[in-house]
Amino acid sequence: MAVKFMLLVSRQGKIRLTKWFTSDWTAKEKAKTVKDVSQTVLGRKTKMCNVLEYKDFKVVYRRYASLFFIAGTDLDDNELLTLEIIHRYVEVLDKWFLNVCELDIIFNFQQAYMIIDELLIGGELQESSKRSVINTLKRMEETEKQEAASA
Amino acid sequence: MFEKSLADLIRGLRANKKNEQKYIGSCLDEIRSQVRTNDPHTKATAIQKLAYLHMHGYDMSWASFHVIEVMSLQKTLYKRIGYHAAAVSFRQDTDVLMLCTNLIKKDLSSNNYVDTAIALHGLASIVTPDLGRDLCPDLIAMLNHSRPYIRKRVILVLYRVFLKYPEALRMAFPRLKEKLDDPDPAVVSAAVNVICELARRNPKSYLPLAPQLYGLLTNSTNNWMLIKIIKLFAALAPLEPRLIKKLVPQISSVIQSTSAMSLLYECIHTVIIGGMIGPETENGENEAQDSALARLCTAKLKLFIEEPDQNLKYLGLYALSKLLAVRPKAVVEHRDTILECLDDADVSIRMRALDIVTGMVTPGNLVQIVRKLMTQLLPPTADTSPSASYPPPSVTPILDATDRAHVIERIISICSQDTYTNVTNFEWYITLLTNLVRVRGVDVGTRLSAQLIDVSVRVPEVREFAVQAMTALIEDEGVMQSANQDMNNARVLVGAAWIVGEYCIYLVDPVRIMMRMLAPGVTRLPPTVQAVYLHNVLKIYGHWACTATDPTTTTQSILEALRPFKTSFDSEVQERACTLFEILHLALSDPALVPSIRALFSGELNPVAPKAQKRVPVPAGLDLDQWIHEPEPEPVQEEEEEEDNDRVPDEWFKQDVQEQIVDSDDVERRRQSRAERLKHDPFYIPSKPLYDDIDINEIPIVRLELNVPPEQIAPTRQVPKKKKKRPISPPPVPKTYSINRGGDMPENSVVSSEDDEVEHEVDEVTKAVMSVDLSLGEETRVESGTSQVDAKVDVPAKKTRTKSTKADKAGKTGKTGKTGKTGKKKTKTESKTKTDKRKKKKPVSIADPSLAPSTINKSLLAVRGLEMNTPYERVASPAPTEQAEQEWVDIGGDEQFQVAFKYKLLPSSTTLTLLFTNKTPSPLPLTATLSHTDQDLSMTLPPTSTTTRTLTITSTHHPTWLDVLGTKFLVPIPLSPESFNELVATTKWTYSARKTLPISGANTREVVSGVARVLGMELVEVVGDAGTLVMRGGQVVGLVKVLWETGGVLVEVRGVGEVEGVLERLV
Repeated sequence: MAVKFMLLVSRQGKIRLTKWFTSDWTAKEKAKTVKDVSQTVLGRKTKMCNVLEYKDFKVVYRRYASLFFIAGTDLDDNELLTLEIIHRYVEVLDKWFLNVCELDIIFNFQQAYMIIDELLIGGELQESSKRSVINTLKRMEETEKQEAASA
Repeated sequence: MFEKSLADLIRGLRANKKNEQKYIGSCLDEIRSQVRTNDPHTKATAIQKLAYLHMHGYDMSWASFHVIEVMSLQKTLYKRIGYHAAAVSFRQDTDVLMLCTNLIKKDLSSNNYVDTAIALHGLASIVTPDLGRDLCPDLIAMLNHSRPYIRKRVILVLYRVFLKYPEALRMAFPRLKEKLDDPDPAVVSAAVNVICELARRNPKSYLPLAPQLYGLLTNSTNNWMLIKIIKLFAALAPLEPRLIKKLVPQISSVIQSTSAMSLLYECIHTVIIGGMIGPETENGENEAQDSALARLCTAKLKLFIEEPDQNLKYLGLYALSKLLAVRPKAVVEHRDTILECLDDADVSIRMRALDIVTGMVTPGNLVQIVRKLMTQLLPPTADTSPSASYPPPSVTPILDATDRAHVIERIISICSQDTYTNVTNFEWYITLLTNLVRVRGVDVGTRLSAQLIDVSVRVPEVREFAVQAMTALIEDEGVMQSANQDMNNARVLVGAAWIVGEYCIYLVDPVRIMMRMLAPGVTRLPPTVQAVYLHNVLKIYGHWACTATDPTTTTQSILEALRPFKTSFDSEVQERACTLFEILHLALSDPALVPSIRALFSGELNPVAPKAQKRVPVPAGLDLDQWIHEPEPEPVQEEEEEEDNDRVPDEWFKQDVQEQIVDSDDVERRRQSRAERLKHDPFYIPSKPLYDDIDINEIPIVRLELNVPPEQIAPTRQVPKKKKKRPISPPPVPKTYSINRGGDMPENSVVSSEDDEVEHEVDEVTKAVMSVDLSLGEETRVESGTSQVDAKVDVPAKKTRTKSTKADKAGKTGKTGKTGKTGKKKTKTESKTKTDKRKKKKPVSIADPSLAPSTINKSLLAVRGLEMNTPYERVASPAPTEQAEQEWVDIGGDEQFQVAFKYKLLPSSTTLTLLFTNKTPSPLPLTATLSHTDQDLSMTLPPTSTTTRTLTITSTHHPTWLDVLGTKFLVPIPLSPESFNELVATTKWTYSARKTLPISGANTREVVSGVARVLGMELVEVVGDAGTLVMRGGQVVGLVKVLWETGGVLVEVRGVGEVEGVLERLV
């Protein structure tokens, strides 16, 4: 599996979003992973590389403004590709929220999840085109708005 | 509506940072009441809020059932919330998951493709083996969905299904393969992704796809996909040398042309780990090409390492370390660049660089590399002589303690690898090891000590130098004092003392070192060190006293120095001190004894091979299972007591009496034997001398030859060995060392292959995926272990529908003959065919390809992948009973066709014959699906009115419905009463209750159907007195019996396992 999980953590260590691509882990394991990984990542200096090995998987992260985007992948996955996926996610977020900031993600966490879903499924990249992702999102928002109006 | 929205909740959380717990507690209370309402909006909002809180670590497993309720709501908006909540909170063992099957099935086939996508996303996260089994037919059918948007998702979801339910892979593979040619690039990319993941675990099965993938590699410009394809080839290439030849030019051109670093890195990585560069050879046929490729890779990797981007640097080093194993020379060229990375600010990069450095050490560069590493441990300005003060005054550790220990470990391993191949100067190495002692905050004393001993044992030439260095180490105050610190290297003194003692001939001032080793401060060292000190003092003393002119004074001072050790708290130290004390005391009184002390330690010790102990041959005639002493027979009365302890036997009384009347002779005899026994018991103090009856002259005396020269005694101290020593050559410049690289092995040692066996561990997922063997050829075979389904279409010669039983019988015999010929079937296939009486033509089976009408789907030959081991199997397989020939049972139809069926219950399978009849004259291609099979059954009815076709299927499942052109028909195959009763009796019901239900119905069947509908399950025909079975996905989950009562319906419900909770909620 490509991406095992995706975390968005603020610089202060607050969890903004967690997305697991597997249901095999217990809540306890997940909590421990989130804690360990986010602490390790937050403890790294800016000059250090964005890849580290943790237990039996690799952690690839990148910081955008005050948010750390952290992905856990298999050991033999391409780190640069994972960085690209993270970047692609940030780009789509940016396009969707128009100049995304941390608050956008906090208050629209359902949409942030929706965007991840449009990019990745089961941890594999399913759509690499930003435009087509945005178009789908727009269509979906419209449908849901109509539904909300009819209610 | 005054309930909080999600935004309110988040706002509230931010406003109540101080008493967050309390706020969340009140929110949770609110949510608890909201999820119980009937208003969909309130319910969905509550679940959404809950999912948000779940992210912050609050449990939501209690709400699983409500999550499913939200999932089943009509609106897309709510569905999304529901599926998202399920994806985050459900686990493999969530009990309500089993209720989702039908819900997901429904959503997958929804008209709104957004709903389908949402269901797919949910499924990707929550799929379990059960869900996988039940839903994979739907998913496989969806691979041909009209929207690429859905197709690509289905492909990726199927991968998750394969991991949980590997059997699905076999069924889905042919279609998955087709998806590599999909017109939509995103779909192709998804298929490549999945195949890449699968092939990494079990490359062999995917080798036949290589040409297709190669085509994609050459034609695609999508880097995302190219990376995956190249990764995929890294798994395939090692299996097929010809593939490498074809790939190398293609990949090299990508390496040279691409500007995308990720793709470039993937290519290089694949070239290295895919075995595309062969190991270095003199004039191999591919040498020129291989070395060119290696040069290209290293040149590109050098760019990576020199990049300011730390990630590229890290990856470049990582790839180089892989390349090192194949082409060390190409890597060593960039030594300086790599060595620079040892000073990088990022510890991950430093460690990666260290990995490479370990691999590229040669005799020529060892000193340089080690010096570089040493500067990280000890600043170069510090005085590095061992006598320098400890700890050195200006040491500022560059690395933290763990990293320092790691670096020291690396230094030792690069120096000692292949028994010191790279060390050219052992004096340097000894100095290095003594310098490492001075690294603070680490505990590597034992490791260093072992190294020092090993080097001095193996390299005779360095012993003199080692003894000097060790003398200095023992006399070093700093090392002594460091023993008080938490982490220290004081244990290195074990090795130091051993070397000094063993090779004491090189000692300059033995007396001084002896006194040093017995100095008062030594008692503060670890007891192991003290014990070794004491033992080696004896060695040195033995050597020194032989040559000393007047040893008396020194001996006396040694005796004096030993006193504190004699009262040591450590028993080992105390014992050694006392022994030493007594020996020296003896030697003092009898100087003739001194040479014999030396003789005790003469002879050389050689290294022993690590496996020597294992290989000691068992001496002939040694039987370890044999009694050395025949055990004394157990006392008789004990045995009897054990045998029969609830009744006191008569003998017991008799014995008691006997003991009282034993004669005095017997008493005397017993007393003597007791004295004899106790004589050798050290805990028994005898009242009279024990040995007064022994003639002292009869004690055998062994004369110990203490004056024998050491060479002759030596063999008794040595481990039997095969000498591998090289002759010592005269020292040219530079100095050469004769290194004993081997280890001693016992004589006649047995070489066993199991020593070298390495077990490969395979993770579970890999096992699961590998267990599925894909036959990639055109011919698709049924080979799924225990399960098997055969399908046959019989084409009657005449298109009239007859109901003649005679004809049936004729057809049956004809059919049986055919089955005999095809032979291979495990399941007995029976078929009832209608043939025209007049023509008496044999039925034609499409198993014979020459006779197969082109319109019949070939895949009918293989309806595969049915599991037999479901409890359901018992339902479908009553005891084999000869059934009377059945009438056709109509199961329904529409204006165009009519379906009827017959069935026959066989042991472990059901044979079903379906009869399709045309109503209107149209050439109608029929597709039908039988429950629990994944293949379409398709056939064409000729365009004549009232044409019939029969179709015979043997299924290991109990089929419950038939889907013809999208219309579902119930196939009412009943259970036999015997098997029903047996099933009810053998199922372990875990839940049983009587309830009054708010479900109305005119008869038992209707009521029970209502219950099943609410549970989202299928219903099995009402049989027997026990009630009606409720099934889910082929498994019995409940039993419902209706007991009529006025006012409501009283139902007796029984359930298995997790259904309990659901049944509870029903009421």
